Amino acid sequence: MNELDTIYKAHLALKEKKISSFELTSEHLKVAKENKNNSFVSVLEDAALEESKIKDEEISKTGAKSFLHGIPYNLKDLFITKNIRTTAGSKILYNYIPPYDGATSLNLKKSGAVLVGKVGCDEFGMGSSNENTIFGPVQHPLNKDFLPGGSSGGSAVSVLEGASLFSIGTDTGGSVRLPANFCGLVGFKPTYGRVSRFGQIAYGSSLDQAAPFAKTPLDIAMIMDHLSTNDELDSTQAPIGNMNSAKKILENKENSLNMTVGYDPSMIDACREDVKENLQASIKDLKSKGVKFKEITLPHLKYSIAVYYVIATSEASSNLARFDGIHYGLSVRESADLEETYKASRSIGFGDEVKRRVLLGTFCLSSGYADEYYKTACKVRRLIYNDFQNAFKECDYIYSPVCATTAFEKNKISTPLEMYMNDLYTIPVNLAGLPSIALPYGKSSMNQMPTGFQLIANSFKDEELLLDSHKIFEVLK
Amino acid sequence: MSFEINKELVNHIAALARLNINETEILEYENNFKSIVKYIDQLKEIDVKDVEAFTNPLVENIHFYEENISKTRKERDDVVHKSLEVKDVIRNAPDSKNNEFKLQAVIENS
Amino acid sequence: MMDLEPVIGIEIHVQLDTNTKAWCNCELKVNGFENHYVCEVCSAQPGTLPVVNKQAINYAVMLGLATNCNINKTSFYDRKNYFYPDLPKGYQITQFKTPICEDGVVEILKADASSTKKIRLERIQLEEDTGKSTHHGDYSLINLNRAGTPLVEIVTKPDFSNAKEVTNFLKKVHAILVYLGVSKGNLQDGNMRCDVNLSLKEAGSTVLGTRTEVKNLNSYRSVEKAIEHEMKRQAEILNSGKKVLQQTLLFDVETNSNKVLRTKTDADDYRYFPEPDLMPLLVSDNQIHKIKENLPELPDVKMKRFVSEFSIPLYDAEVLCSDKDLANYFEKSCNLAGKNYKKISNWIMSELLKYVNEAKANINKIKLTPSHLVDLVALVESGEISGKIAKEIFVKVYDTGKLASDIVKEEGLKQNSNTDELEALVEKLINENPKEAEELKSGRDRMMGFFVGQVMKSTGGKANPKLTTELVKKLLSL
Repeated sequence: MNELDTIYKAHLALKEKKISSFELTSEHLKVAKENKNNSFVSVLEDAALEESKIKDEEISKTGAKSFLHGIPYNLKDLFITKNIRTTAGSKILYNYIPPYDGATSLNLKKSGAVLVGKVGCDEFGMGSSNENTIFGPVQHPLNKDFLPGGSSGGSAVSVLEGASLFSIGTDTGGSVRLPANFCGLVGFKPTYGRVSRFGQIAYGSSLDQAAPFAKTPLDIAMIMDHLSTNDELDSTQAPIGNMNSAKKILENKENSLNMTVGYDPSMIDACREDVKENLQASIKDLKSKGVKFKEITLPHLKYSIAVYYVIATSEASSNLARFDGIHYGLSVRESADLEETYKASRSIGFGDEVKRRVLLGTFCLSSGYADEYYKTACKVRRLIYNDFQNAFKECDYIYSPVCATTAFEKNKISTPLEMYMNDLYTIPVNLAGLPSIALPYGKSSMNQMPTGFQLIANSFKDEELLLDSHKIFEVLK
Repeated sequence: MSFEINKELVNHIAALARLNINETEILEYENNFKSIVKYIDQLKEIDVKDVEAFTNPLVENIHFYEENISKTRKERDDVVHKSLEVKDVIRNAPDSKNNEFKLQAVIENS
Repeated sequence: MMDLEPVIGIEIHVQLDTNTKAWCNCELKVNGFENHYVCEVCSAQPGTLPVVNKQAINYAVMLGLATNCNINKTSFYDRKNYFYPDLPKGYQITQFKTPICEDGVVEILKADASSTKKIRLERIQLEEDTGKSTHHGDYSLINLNRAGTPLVEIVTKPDFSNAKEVTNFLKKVHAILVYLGVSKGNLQDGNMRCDVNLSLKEAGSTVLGTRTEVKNLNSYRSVEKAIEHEMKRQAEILNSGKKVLQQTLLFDVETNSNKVLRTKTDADDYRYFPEPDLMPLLVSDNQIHKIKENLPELPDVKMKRFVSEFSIPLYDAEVLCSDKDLANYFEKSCNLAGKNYKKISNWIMSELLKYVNEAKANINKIKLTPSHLVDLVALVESGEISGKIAKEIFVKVYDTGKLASDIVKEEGLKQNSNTDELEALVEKLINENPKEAEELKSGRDRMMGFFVGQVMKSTGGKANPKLTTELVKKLLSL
């Protein structure tokens, strides 16, 4: 079992009839059901086993129709699944059973993958620690005193603990790359507009993208080839159709790392000592394998957190207005006054961090302040985007830390602002809408927790980024 | 700063957002707000006079793929598709009556 | 008392007559079974996104072109945030900063119909309708069939001077909408809804007063009554030295008066921002060109053509062109007749419209077709039947669909123009009524009516009145 720890290996084993989807699914379900780290919100045991049997039949009849055929996976509980409870980690959706299927769920159904469950996350994707949730924090499988990072903490942990071969999270400001980095996994945020957001409960609409977790860039490619399916229901998805990156990676014969990577040394210097050591080691390592590094500057990136917290919360304040206790979700009706129903339902239904962000966003958009905050932030966002575009004139990819620290210990972060700072390196990528992959590299000399880095590419260079990440991943192994 | 973050402002914002906040929360949010807004205020040091607002990355990035495909945007043909079954429309409704969402009396205000 | 004059501008919401909703493929069937025309998108289930309806854009461009607007080749959608139970998203998708059409002009007839006046349009924006709530004592019910219906909002400049101009404008917009086929455009049915913004200023002054907004105007009559009432209400306030408050008022049909709904406060903070779920709305030159080419003849053009081609007065043309089908009926009749255009217009405006409106009939489906009308008018104009008989026959034609000429033959209603026969009758009358004959001779012209009337009576209305008059004159040597 343990040797089948990637999609690709499991796929080959299924193809060669060394294992059945039923067996593979059962093994993963066992871990999911045990739920040692509180990663799962719902485990779909009966449905998954039933599905796996159907997949076995299909595979025996016509062979595997895709790399994901028969592969057990899970979804962050922010993805809408028809007739399967979808909570967004929130009390307000605690009993919500969607009447429709989102694009992510449908695309993976079509791929033939087997859904074993829905995993925990920070409420509505708002958080970096996976502590802001009605279901309680998700624990780090490598050390109980640590947090796996958020908001897609359940996704990262489920893959690391062996409850699924892959998981789909969402990345609005780093919510996939951060937990991937904290858990030693590969996390990939696609270009904004590369995947459909239909059926992904919205947080920051101009930032959100569905983003996969897996153990290798090749596995990520196999997932992305399905997630990138064109969806007529999302106007903000580019209508360019499926990626075909897995095949390109498998057929690739050119293994030289002939690429120029830009980096800003001050970003590395700002990291904690243990993280810095490993980042510098990885650069040295990559240079020795032929990667050319070039110093660049990204002068406006320091404003990213400020810009992000204005834009993301502004959009969130509007996106979360639909949770009003009238059409679905928690409704507190103790008063004859409708206004009180709104207020009570939302105040009891939303957690503190969600309320904080909704209030901040409402403030940033309110008359008298919108010019100062929302509009200014949108303008600075362009300056950040321009920084990246200028940098890409000189390099193919940009190398950056994912986080200045490793996974953090429980109860160590005291103020919201301190928590927001964790996303300093991931947020600029979402603001500019770029693709970025978090790759693991080494363990901290301080606490033995995983470390890594991210590679950022220009818009719609998703396939190129995956192919080169695969090469890098292989040589660094 | 041209304004002060105080209890009144927090209360006003909470009312707009339809959130109830009690006295202790007001104080907490007031303090959160002060530090966050102070942090955000660093944006004011940048000269953005001639910068155009950036609202959606796809709008900026269309040129990366537009030349390669004929259709660059999604608009629907005016053709009817089946709606949801009515039971599914109201399946999550906290209260309903005769297939409609039910709530306490609303004072008409169009 | 101050000399006050009103400044009036209006906003009209028009439901577009598309097959499907603005952001999803649900059928537009507002009056269907409750919540049967609703999907995950228009019920705002979490995770759903809007996709624009092409036809709604085409319709907005058509309307923009028909009202002489500039079409913005790039416009944007914005979110207007407010909580309301019939707005399940908690925001309305609208166009705030840059609408699809701007700076239009619509020409209307002035209140006295003497001449026309230009009303400027500030903007036409695309947006969506809400669901519908009904109120049942201590509870309310929400039906989302209407939620997400595509709307355009037309905003005028404050160019109206009185209530009549406003209703003339509404009728003109209605006609344009129907000509274009983009909306049913009926105030009564709610597919056109009008809000009036009104303030009073001192005559001659450029300083504007505080304005109020009147809602719930679902007939032309309501619009006129509401404006009249609001002008009076504000004048009373101002004349007593008080100030008009910025308020939203609701017109009450029962009392013909406006009731204060709410006073505007800073709670009306809609927190507009660009809709991140939609791309900018692009309209290409090619698209505009194509739409322009396929625009039907519009009411104003048709009106002017009718005036010049058929030599009818502007007022007639305005009435006839206010309804596309009516205009077609008139034009078809004229083309069949090749003459008597003003007479045809008279018959349509006085008789035909009376019966059609009474029966709420569809003019395309009535038995009295343009050829029937032409036949009837020809009989009158050639003197074969009298006007009085013609009106009686008109009803029969309208009811039965028989030709007037056939009815005349069948019932022997042909006008009597037999000089000998009529002369004998007149002579007899003069002999029997010497007193009246004397009076007429001595200059009491009114007595002519007596003689003609008597002849008519004894001929059952068939006597040719013109000929009869001549005969009376001849026999009395007048």
